[in-house]
Amino acid sequence: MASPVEQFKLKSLVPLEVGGIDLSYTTSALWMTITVIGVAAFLTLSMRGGRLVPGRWQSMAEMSYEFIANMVRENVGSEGRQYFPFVLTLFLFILFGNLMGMIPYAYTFTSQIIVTFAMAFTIFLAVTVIGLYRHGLHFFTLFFPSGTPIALAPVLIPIEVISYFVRPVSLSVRLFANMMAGHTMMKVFGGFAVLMGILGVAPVLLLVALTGFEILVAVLQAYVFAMLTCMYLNDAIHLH
Amino acid sequence: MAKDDRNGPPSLEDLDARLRSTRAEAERRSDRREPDSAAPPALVGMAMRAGVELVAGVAVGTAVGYGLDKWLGTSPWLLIVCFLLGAAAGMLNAYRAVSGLGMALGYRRGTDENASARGRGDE
Repeated sequence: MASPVEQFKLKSLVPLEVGGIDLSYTTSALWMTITVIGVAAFLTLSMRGGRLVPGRWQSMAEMSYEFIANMVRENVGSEGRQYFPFVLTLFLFILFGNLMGMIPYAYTFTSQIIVTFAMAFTIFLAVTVIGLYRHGLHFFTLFFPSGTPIALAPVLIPIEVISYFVRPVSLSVRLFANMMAGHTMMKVFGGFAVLMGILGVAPVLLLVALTGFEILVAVLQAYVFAMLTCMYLNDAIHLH
Repeated sequence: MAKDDRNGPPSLEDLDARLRSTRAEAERRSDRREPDSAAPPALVGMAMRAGVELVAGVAVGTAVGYGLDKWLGTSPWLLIVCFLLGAAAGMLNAYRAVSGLGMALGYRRGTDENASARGRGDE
């Protein structure tokens, strides 16, 4: 029987090596491509009719649009409007990636730390650049809020700096760990079902509940990722 | 003729002014929006966040300390100091995650009226 973590193994579909760097087109890349096409198809096809009274698909597209639009407006304010396309893209990419990973035999690319870290680090860099661009050196007051006793500076500044650099790590680890743990757990219970013969009904029932839970986690993690992106943007823009 | 004037295309300046005022009005209204009462789904997210925050703080602190030690050759002092600072940062972030301050650095709540009206959705 396959080990529970074998599902995360990358298979290279189109081997490609450029200058000693392995750039193969892998299963992970394939599912990212499928996700991008899926999101694009979802948004364009469902809005094709563009009716005043939306149908089912149009409703879903409009709801996801409005959900993120409200999230950006409430967490970043009206200045955040220009970053809305970025947050919506990010949210739909992660959401579709997570949900497509729930299809049997599909590959969950969000269960790869490098994928989530690349996204989190891009956000981290972008937020830092936006903050520096908008506030110049004043941006660094983020690390030492006014009204703090100066004696605390040697302790507080390192803590704040570290807690700033923790952001990309916690953002990426949260998504990756949730997806990987969930999929491993499902595989383990699937293994139990095979091993236990007739008694395997119990793990199968649990698996049904777990599948529902996993879909919840898939949606929730996409939400949390988008939400935190908004909060970071808010920090950079308003410096509170 | 006068009727024609009224129905003719309005001047661009006129349109511009109207557009600006409508936009400003819409912005003012959207900024004052009450925080969404549907915040509770965030609670589950908050709970999940706190744990990751703690671990990530310690991990990053240790990594920074180890890196600095390697670079400056002060092993093991910076590792110890940065481990403690990282643990403190992790706790601080976990506290912020659950107290609804979000990932905000610093302790200042928004002072301007705009920031307080914006609401963080979970305050």
